[in-house]
Amino acid sequence: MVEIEAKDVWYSYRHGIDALRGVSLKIESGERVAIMGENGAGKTTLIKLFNGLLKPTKGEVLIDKISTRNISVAQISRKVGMVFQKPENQFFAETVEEEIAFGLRNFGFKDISKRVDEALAFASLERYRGKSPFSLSGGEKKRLAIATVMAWEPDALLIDEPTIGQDLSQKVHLATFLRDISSRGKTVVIITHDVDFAAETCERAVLLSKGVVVGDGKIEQIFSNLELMESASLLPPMIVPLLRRLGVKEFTKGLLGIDEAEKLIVQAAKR
Amino acid sequence: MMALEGFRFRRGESFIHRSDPRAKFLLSFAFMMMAIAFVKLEFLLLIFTIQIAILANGRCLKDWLRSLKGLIPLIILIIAAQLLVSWSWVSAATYSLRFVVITSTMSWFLLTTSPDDLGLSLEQVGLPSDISFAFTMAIRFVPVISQEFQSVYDAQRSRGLELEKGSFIQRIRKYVPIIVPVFIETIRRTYEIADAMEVRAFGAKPKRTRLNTLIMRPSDWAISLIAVLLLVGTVCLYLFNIKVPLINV
Repeated sequence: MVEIEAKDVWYSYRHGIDALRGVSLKIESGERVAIMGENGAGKTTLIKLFNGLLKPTKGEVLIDKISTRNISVAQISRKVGMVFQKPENQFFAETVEEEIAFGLRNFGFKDISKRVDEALAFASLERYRGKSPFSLSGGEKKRLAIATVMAWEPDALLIDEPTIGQDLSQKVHLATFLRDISSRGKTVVIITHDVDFAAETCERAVLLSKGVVVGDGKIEQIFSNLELMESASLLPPMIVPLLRRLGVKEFTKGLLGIDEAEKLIVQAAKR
Repeated sequence: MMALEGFRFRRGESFIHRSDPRAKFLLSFAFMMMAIAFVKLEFLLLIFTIQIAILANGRCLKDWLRSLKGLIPLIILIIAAQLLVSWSWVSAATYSLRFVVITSTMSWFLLTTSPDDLGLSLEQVGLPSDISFAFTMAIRFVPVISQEFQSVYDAQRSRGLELEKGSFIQRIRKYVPIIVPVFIETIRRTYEIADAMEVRAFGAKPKRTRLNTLIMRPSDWAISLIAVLLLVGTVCLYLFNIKVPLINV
């Protein structure tokens, strides 16, 4: 159980760019949140603040009511794990197994081999146990990167662009994987440009634009608000404008998926 | 990585920015040779003051200071080693100042010389274009690699790596998880760039022509002349073991 809260957070980079300008939001334990917005909106900066890698220039980020200023990155990471956009940026060990054990050793776990086995099984990577992390495919690398963090079971997982460079089957696998994580009671926060993936995996969406939260709420409400989506330079899932044309005003989560939408379209066709 | 900030080109319009890279190189080389040849506190202070003036002219004092901050651990190491060996504050100050002078020399040269100009001047000095190109690329990628180092460092910190903890040896070993990914990524990038260059027909024509060429202005000749005189002077004093007060006595 972990609660992440940003209170009027500002962040400026050294060269004077204000990446975040007064962001306030609270992520409750067990939520699945998609953080979305155009490039340079401040998404990565925001989750780096959640993880303590960056400290706010103004305002405060609280992890279980403790300010990130007062605790080390390692202490925060134990609770709030982060998976970076490029998995290659973290692999250094000779084997997949060793790669997973690294974090566990840093945190001083005793049951390392058991946890490594679990993480390998969870990410369906058992057969690569003794292989080099660099020999894996793009999708496998991403799963390994997530598994290296999942191994110490943080209460929340922040994932930067999980679907970049992934083909369809890898995405499907990843979506199931994330739902599995969530069903274990973990908070999942992802940054993504992929609206379909977000609709499939998350229940809440936070839209950022130029360092400000412009939308925050249930994902179906956010995605069906076409003006809002456009203001954050996002294309809604194809199904939304279509259903809008068919006269749908109230969107439910199910309507973002094929099955429920199909029923409505068939009904409309009969009319 | 802060240390690298002071070696990264910043565009500018100052006198020193506009000076010919060949002249600038000669001058910075002369300063470096002097700092290596004469280990005398007063003399080093003089060179140091001149360098500050150059940096001020180029409006890059801030960047230089930032890189100096990054070098503090090394400076402390030099001071400690000197104190240990000679037990003299003067020699500790002298040797650490010499280090600062040498790095500052490279710093103002690289801060005010664009990598393109640098490559161009190498070529005009007569180096084969392949080699000058490789040189330009190396400099051009310093900030990229430095950024990458930072992201890898962040990624490993998120996995519980704490560089600040442990004994000296342990701390050095902790750099492995950072250095390995940076190396691998760099090597991989090298291959990619090589391919990208080849598809754009790099090296298709042995003799390349240039859109811009460097021209020495009178002020550049003056700088070069000063630099050559300083170099000749340094070599003479050093070779013939001539003692001059405040320089090497």
